[in-house]
Amino acid sequence: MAGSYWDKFTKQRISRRRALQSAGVAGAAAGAIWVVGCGGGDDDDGGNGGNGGNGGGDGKPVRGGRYSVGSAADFDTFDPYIGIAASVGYFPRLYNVLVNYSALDTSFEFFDLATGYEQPDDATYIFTIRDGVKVSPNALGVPERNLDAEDVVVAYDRIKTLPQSNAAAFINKWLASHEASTDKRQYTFNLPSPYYFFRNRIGSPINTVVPKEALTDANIGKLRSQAAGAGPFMLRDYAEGTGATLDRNPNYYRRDESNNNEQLPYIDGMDVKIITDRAAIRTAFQTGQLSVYTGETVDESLQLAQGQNYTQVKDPVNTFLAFTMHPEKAPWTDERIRKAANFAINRQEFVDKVYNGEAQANGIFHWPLGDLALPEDELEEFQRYDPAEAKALIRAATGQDTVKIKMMYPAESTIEQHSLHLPIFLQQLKDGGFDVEEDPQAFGTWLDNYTNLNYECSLALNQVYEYAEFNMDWQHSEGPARNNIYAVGIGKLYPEIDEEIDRVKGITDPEEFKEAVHELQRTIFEKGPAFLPLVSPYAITLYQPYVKNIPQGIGASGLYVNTWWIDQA
Amino acid sequence: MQTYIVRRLLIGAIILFVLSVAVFILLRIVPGSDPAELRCGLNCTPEGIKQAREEMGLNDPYVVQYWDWLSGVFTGDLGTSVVNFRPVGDSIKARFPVTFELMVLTLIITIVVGIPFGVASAVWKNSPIDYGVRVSAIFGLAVPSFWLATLVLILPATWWGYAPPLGAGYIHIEEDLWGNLKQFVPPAAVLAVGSAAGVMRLTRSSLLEVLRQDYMRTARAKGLAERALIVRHGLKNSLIPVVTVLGLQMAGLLGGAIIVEQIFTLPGLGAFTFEALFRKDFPVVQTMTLYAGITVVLLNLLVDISYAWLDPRIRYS
Repeated sequence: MAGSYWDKFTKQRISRRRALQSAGVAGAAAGAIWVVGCGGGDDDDGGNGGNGGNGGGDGKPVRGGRYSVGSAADFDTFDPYIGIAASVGYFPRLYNVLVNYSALDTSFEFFDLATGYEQPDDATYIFTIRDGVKVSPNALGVPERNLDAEDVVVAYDRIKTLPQSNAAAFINKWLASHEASTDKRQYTFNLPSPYYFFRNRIGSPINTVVPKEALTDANIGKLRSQAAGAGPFMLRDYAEGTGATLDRNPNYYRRDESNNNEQLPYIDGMDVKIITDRAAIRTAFQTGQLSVYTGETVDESLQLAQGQNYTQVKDPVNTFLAFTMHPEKAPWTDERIRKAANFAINRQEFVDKVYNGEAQANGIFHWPLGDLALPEDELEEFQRYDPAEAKALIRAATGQDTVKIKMMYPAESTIEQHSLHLPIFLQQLKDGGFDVEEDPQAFGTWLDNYTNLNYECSLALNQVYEYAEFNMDWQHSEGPARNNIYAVGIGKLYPEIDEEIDRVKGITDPEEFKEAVHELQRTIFEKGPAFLPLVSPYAITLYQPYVKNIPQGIGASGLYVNTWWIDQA
Repeated sequence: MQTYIVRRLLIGAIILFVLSVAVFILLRIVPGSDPAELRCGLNCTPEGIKQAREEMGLNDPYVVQYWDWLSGVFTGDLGTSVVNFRPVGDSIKARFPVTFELMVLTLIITIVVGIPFGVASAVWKNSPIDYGVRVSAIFGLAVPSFWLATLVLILPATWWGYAPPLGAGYIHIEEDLWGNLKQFVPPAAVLAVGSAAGVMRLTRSSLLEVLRQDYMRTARAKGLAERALIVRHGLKNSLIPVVTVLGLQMAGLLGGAIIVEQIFTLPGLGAFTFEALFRKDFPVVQTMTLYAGITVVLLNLLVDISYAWLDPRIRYS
């Protein structure tokens, strides 16, 4: 997903976090979400386990009403295999995945197009296709029929032909072969070798299944502004620069078992409004034109909520700024200099000054990933703030008290509080013995240089990483998308790191995986990482009081849960 | 007059040609993200980017690329957006009415506010009215439209929980007049503040100049009523510089509309151009620059022609 982040920045200059958050009730990039001042407790998502809603005090579901969302980014297409930016957050609304797992709540599984799967071995998944997943009425002429295994085959085959597809990295690398059974009720996915992140990948919005008739030559171009799927909603219309209107899919298969098998979703539809200006989105929410708003900071949300009856959902955000060092360019080739940078950074200062305490320090894995990140006490040792040690390392490496470095950064960015991080970061480097030659660059220029590794080091904007694979791949020689873009991993210097990353990905036992991931992080710290995530903050998403049963604690998986409702009585 | 118009149009065509060439070249030499990378998207391999460059014709010589684009313009094919692959012509067609209405409304407010207050300021020179108008005009000229737009959006929302329709798309005037006015009057008023202030000041100074002319004194001596004197003889003769400035302002407002459309979430050409510029969406930026150029050329021509109506002594040949 790293690439999509930058494509998105280039196109829209909003964070994917916001695109996803605005896309659904879930607060999609969430980690452990909890509700402040709203009914607690768990509620069922409709029958597949997990905790899809806050339930509790929200009462009996009400049918009807429309949910209004502001999106800072426009839809580029409704083709899930090439769509990025705002579109991604709506693919789960329009289409189906085989199964979705939450990266944040491992107990949450959402069987969608598949009712389950068998694993004859660690590298083979045989999915049983659900009967009755029926395509919605649509303008593409796709018949209102049930999806089957052949649709999955056609969809994933198409991804293989699209080098630009978001899902191409996964499908091309991990789909060794696949087939539909003769009766089209079973779909088999063969991996070349066991792969820990298969469940995360297969359930991603960019791997949703589009009916094969919509992927014909005659229809494929029409997916720019139309859609046909069997998801909970159907696309009524889309107007460029204005937004999209989604209506409830009358053919949607899912029912709420906890409420007399009522058909889901409860709401009549969603209105997605393209509002590119942040002040305008906030104003639209304040004046009741939008149902949901995520503040730029926790403080902003709290201020906005003062005296109001909004439902507040506070969650950790899977995004961060990072310090990236080119491991093949001096002085960063020397592990002592990389380690010096690590010790020069006072992460707590960012927590206190940028986020008013509403953030936490990251290690190699950012803290919202839960126990895959190293325990706090261990992290405090590996990345302690110790400018004296930083200076000592620099002296040992260069024989001088300071080392000259050239650092580029996007000059005009306000994204993710970048402008607030920058002066603190520069001062910290200076205090740690770095003589920084600043190289502020226009965003596009910076991005070009960052993408093509045309720099020595950078204070870099980064994206949402909902599961740990990207953290690992940032340390890999081929980079986070494994296509040599943004590739600053110390795997370039230590091939054993690359080998270890690949080995760890093949571990399928969760406990064993966690231990291996921890060990991997320790090894990387010992060798001096060239990619250092700084801190990840919290965010508060505000909902109008009429939005009920908000999914929580499951991150982006909340986009698949449709048990929420609107009660404007 | 006809010869004059034809000559002006020819000069306009040359200006547009130079403008389009300059924009075409500048877009290709400025550093920044490669449109082929944008089109190719995530996980794109160097081969994929190469293929995208080929498909987009970016490997062709500039002359060929320019000719392809220009011939498309003449045949009505404005190309396809690099970013969303949609025809540029369709996007412009959908967005043009929004910007057009915004411009027209802004012009109306500018004239309705700027000229009467400018006249009042001149007629009651050095009175409290004059001082009030002049102070207001300075305020209007000094306040940047993006700041004013943000205030106009935020303050009513904070105080009274009111905001114009945001993200509602284009509310067509024939479908919902009241909704349309709610949507367009605030941004048009914001845009008009600066231009009305300029018009106010210019009307005042221009009218004062005219009021000092001998023929005005003669008209007054002949016993002409003060209102007729000012409106028929004074105002009309003082309008030439005002019309000139109005024409320039309307052209300049296209720039202001970029920000104001963003803030008020109007799906017009301003927001469209802004996004395209940021994304380096070549076909869109080129077309929009040409469109802006055509607008400026035509507005200037219109202004020049209006001189003849305002002052019959002016003859074109």
